Amino acid sequence: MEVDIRITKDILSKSEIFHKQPERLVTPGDVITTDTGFMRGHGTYMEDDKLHASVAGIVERVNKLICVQPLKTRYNGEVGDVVVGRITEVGQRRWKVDTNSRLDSALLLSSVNLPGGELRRKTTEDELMMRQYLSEGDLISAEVQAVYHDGTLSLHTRSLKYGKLMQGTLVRVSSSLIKRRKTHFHNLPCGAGVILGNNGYIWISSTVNEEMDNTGGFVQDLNPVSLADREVIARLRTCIQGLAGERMMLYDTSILYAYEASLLHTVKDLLKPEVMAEVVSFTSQQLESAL
Amino acid sequence: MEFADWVGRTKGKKIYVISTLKRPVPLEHFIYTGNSTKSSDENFLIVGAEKQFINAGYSKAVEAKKARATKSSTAFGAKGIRQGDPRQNKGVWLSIIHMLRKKSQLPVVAFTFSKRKCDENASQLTSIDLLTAAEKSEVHIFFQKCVSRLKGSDKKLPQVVHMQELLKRGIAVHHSGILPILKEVIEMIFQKGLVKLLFATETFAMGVNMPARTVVFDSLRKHDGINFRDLLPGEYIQMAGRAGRRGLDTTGTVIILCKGDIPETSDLHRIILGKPTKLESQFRLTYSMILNLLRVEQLRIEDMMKRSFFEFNNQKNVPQYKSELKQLKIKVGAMKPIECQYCSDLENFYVHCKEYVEIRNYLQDLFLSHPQMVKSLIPGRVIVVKHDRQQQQLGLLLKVSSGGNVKKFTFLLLTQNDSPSCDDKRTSEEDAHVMDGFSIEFFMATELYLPEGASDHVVVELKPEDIIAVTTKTIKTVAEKVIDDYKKRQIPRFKDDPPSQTTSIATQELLRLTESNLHGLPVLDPVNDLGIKDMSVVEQFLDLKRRRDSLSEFRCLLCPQIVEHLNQMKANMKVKEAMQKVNFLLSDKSLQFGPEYGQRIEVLRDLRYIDGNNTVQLKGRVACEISTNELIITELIFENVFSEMQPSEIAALLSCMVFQEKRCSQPSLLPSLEKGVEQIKAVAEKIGKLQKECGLTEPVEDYIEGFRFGLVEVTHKWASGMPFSEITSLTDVSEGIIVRTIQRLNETLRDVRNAARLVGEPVLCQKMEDASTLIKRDIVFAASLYTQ
Repeated sequence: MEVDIRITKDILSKSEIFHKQPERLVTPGDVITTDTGFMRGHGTYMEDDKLHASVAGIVERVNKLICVQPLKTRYNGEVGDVVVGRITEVGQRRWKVDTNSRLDSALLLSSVNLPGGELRRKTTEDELMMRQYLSEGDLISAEVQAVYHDGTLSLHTRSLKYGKLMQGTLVRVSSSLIKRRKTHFHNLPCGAGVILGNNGYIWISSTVNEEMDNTGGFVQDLNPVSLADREVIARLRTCIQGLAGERMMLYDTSILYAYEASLLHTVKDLLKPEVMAEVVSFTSQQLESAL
Repeated sequence: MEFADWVGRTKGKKIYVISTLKRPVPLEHFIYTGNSTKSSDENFLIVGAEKQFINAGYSKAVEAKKARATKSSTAFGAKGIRQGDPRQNKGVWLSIIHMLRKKSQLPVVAFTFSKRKCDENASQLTSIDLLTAAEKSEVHIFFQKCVSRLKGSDKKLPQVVHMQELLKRGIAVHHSGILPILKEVIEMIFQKGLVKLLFATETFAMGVNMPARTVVFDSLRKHDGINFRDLLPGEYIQMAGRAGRRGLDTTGTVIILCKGDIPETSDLHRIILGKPTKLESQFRLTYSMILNLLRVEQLRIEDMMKRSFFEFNNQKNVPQYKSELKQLKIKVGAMKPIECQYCSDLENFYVHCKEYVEIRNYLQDLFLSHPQMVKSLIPGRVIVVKHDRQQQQLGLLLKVSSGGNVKKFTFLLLTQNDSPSCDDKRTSEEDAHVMDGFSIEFFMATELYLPEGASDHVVVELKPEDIIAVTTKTIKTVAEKVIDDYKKRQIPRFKDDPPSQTTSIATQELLRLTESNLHGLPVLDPVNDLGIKDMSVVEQFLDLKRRRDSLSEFRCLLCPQIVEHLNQMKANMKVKEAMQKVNFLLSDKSLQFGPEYGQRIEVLRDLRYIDGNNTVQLKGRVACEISTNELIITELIFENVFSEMQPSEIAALLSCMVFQEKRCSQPSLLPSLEKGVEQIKAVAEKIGKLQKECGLTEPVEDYIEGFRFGLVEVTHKWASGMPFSEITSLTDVSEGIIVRTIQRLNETLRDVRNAARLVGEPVLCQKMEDASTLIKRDIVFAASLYTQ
């Protein structure tokens, strides 16, 4: 019988992977500056004319504004972000969506496209039909339309790109690991589609056909996904989780590099920490050399 | 029609256009020449209800005017009729009101194109009372009710009191300088029919439901911010269209006052019956639009620009371009490659030559316009030129003449006795024009052309591009004599005369020079002789030399059929170029806003609003929150200009972002405000300069000028709690403008507050909140009467 003996994870994480020390890393209470000419932004507070950090993170300066980007945080939405979320509640003319932010986000009935991308005023019948469109537990992709003053996000799915997600895998990582890009929808050449939600939720599914499949997710397609596709999806999932475990930024190139590096191993082997560590270190080397 | 086409194209739907040509209440246009109660009936119909121009009416008007003019000139000497004389002005108005009242054609809207004139006219007519007692009391009650909303001292504002006076007599004034609340009062009373005479500016014409029986035009010319001009037909129609109330009147009356001379018939025709101006797109690319589109995933800015009405004319042609492209593609596919063992590098050669010619032409222009060169281009200078088949030959410059923007040079050239026959001409046309007039020989010729046998001469006019080089040599001659002599001998009668002495000497001299210097004369060198210092030009010149030298290295020059092949190549290349052009037109780059878009993106990148991948950064997000002047306000926030200041000071400084009046008295400022103004100006200058560097055309000064600090003091005092009645004495800006500025300021304050919240700065956020509450009081934010 095959026996698999491994080193404990603790030893592993200390070795091998080289972390660059970020330039200005602060912990809560650290004094950032004593100069009063600066403006305080998020993650800072004033005490005795000194600017302190209120969260652990990296200090960022824009002109005279100083703010601290927290390392580990709930998702802070911005207009235009792509998010992946799960419906938690069907309410009055709106759905509540869990988007990994402090408060549940709202998806108004008026800001969704009806099945088939139809655009019209929503009637009472539509209100009664809401649960047929999206019910609790459904996963959706959406875009942030507005941020209310209490931080609640208002989402919209007014494009056929967005909508219900079916047949795929959700990976949850910290939202600070998602790199902001022009586009967050990627069809990777390895045969899978990835939606990198800005909120740290990543959706992996088989390749989305641009013209055909953009139905807003209202057409149920429950045909079994082929084994090859599922393997690709599983491999991507492990890669992403491996990268996230080592706090590497996630975007199309990094994911693709990790995927390519992982091809040496079987999907099952990737679950072993030391194999994953090898893949990740290889990826980081590749990313650095590409710069 | 065009507009509907555009809507249909962008939406991908069929559009039905429904248009009405008929007015339910037809208009009659009159010219009015009366100026006193005696002549108050001098009203002449010029355009009837059927839109026909009545010449009889027009000539009658002219006669009436003339009659009076002669009468007055006999009475008062040659004083003439001057426009703008206030007393006479009053007379005109009195008489026309008298006339209209008699014909019961009130109420009337009088369009006057300046705020000052509106006020003046209304104040002059003190003697007129157009209301009955019952109507008076109704107006009074309504007015009191409305004004009662205002605070104590505001009720006593001069404008309010004055307006009440006027309204009681059935007169009112309506323009942007009037307090908004008064404007609403006037509008409401007008709709009740209790304002019989309303002096208004053009803005009143934009309202939807404010018709009158009669419309009077004070003049047909207005100042449009740049200069005085005639009204556009569209403007005239809009204003004249106020006349004639549906259901109340059978016709609407439009009267044009003639205080000075009567307008020309053609002008009247154009203004009254002309076609409205073409619809023009007002699409502008703004930073906030770019930023807002950049952060949304689904829409590209290029698509947005394509869909604008501005691009409509180009986009309309897209299908045509596409079919063109298809045809060109087929052509390219059918092209025969040139098969020749020598000509493997023919294509390179072609490209090379083309570039060479382009650079040469460019530099040639530059040199020939260089002052030093102009000085040396005097009659007597020997110059290497090309003419007909001869690619290089010496010419003697006789005359430089510049007709229009093209310079022409007259040369004396040597020719063979029998050569300029038509036969020669034909062949030259056949093969010489290989490349924009430069034949293959041009690139190879090194020797000067020397006529064989008995030489003759011609005097010809050549264009600047025919000049190849300017030599250092000159020949002494009397240019005029040579030209005159040649001209004389062109006339058949003198054909057999021998050339004059000057001419023959010059010819001899030229021949001698050519013979002795077959391989070229020393040439004026642009760098050394003309002293051109500009690095890029010198470099280009050296590059040109290098290119010229490298040309001879091409193998294809050995090919015996080079000319043939080159022609074929040229045809091929032409097709390819055409394809490139069509491709370009179809691509995003051809958008008219394309370059501007690129420049603006550059500005945003430099200011770090967006990063290299066009992802919107924190500053960009802040700018998105702000609706006007987004760049400068964002910069001010991030430069921490506001944190030190009091809320009222911030409000005062931000007033420069929304105040637009050009002229106003210079405010006296506190030192702290003075400092703020300086800071804003500094930031504005920085942005202005950056824009300039990135290639935008707006001059730095204009950008800074765009911020007007005229109301800084006023807003500061207002925010500090000074009553409105005292505020008005601080400045000469009219009340209505102050109110509007402060209202708009509130919007800006709200934007900045949102921005502060986004940045995470609670102190500034609170300050903006405070500032907002400070300015939101009394008459400025009195609730609209319509919404009550």
